[in-house]
Amino acid sequence: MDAPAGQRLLGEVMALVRQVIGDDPRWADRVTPSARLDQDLRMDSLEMATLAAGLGKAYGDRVDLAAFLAGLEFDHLVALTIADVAAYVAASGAGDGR
Amino acid sequence: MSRFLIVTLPLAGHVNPPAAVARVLQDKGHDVAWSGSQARLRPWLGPDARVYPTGMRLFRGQADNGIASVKSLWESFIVPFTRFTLPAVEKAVAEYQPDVVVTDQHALAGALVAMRHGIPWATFCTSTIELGRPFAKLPKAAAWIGGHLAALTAEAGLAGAQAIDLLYSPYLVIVFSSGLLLGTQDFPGHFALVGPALSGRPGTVSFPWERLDPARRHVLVTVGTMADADAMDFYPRAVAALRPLGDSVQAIMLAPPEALPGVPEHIIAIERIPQLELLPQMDAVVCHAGLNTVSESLSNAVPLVVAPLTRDQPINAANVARIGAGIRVHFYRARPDQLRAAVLALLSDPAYRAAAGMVRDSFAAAGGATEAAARLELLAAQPEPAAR
Repeated sequence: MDAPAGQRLLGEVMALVRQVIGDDPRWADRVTPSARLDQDLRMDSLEMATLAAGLGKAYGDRVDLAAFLAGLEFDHLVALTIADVAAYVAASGAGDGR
Repeated sequence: MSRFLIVTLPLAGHVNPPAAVARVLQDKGHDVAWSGSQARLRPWLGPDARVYPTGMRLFRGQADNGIASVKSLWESFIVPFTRFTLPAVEKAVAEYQPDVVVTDQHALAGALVAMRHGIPWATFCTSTIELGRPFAKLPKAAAWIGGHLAALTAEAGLAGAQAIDLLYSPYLVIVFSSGLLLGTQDFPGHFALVGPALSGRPGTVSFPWERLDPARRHVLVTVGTMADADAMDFYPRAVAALRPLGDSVQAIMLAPPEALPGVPEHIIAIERIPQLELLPQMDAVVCHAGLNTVSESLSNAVPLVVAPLTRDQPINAANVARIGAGIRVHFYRARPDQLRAAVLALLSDPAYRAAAGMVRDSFAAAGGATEAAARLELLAAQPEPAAR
């Protein structure tokens, strides 16, 4: 994936996260590439499930957020950022050619 | 007569249930002693309880929300607390010579010492965090916890016993909840789901009962004190949610007064309440979904708005919502209008109270502290109890 496509994908994932957590600026304004889903955005399991469904809908079945999380060490789960999720989507090949 | 040593954590939610069970055991003529922090346990247990001291240490650096809170619960509390208390629990067992060691699920020193000495032991599940299996789909997080358990077991000289599970006694596991609320009856035979053990907490906290207006409905808001500014923001949102409801609702809001400047007449801001005495007067509760408040509310058939933050609170909140005894909201994101709609739904739709009543009935049928004590007596009476 080239750099512009990566940037576009990152923007799409950030938009999806904003859809999930709502438009209250106290939280929506915290949605940045380096924002951690757990500690910075306080996304709970229900919101993570909504995000997983949204990613699957946008990028197809090859993007399986639950399976990605299942492969992560505890430290990485706690530190997981929006950029990490976008990188996973890119690595799955699902973000290409859109 | 048998001798029971209770090993627990210096936290109210981990002391109140075993204290209720201990009173039943003592009333039946048994002897009970405790292993824990004198300074923390004494105010809860009173001057007559026998406490083998473990000393007291502060455990800092615990995250207060999200999955980070579970990780730091283990690495900043459970594991160092186990290492710190192990010698004192060893000494308590040597001196007291208990017939049964009763250990909180996260006071792992109790399990380790009982196994070292070959004494039958029982686990008290005073939270739902292990039963709820939050990492069922996150195997590496679960394995990380398993690694800590294996290390503690090896350090205690028990490495040879492969099948040891420090979190669940092979003899008796007492769960202070019901299968109905937990969502499954599918537990091994040595698990006893006894419901909450609420009896006998001393009622020493006063309350301005005369301020309760019988013509209005009553909502208790109790979310504890929280460290960060994002969490403290819950109070102004809750006040804004309740502000227009003064004609029909009175709220009792547990909060430091400085967190609630200029609240209207129908919101009673107060720092301490006699919760067990107050709950029968309540029509709804707004809380974090800590197991104590959830159990105490449902024991009175009071439905809840649950806004979970940490540890087992998301599990309890999911259970309350699943059974229809309340509404789950996002602690940080729920807007005043959403909180108001949730409270009004509980007050107007009798289905919530009916579902809460079903849980109350399941608790009553489970037997509480009396049933827990009976199961412990049975364990103590067996010459060589079978491990499952």
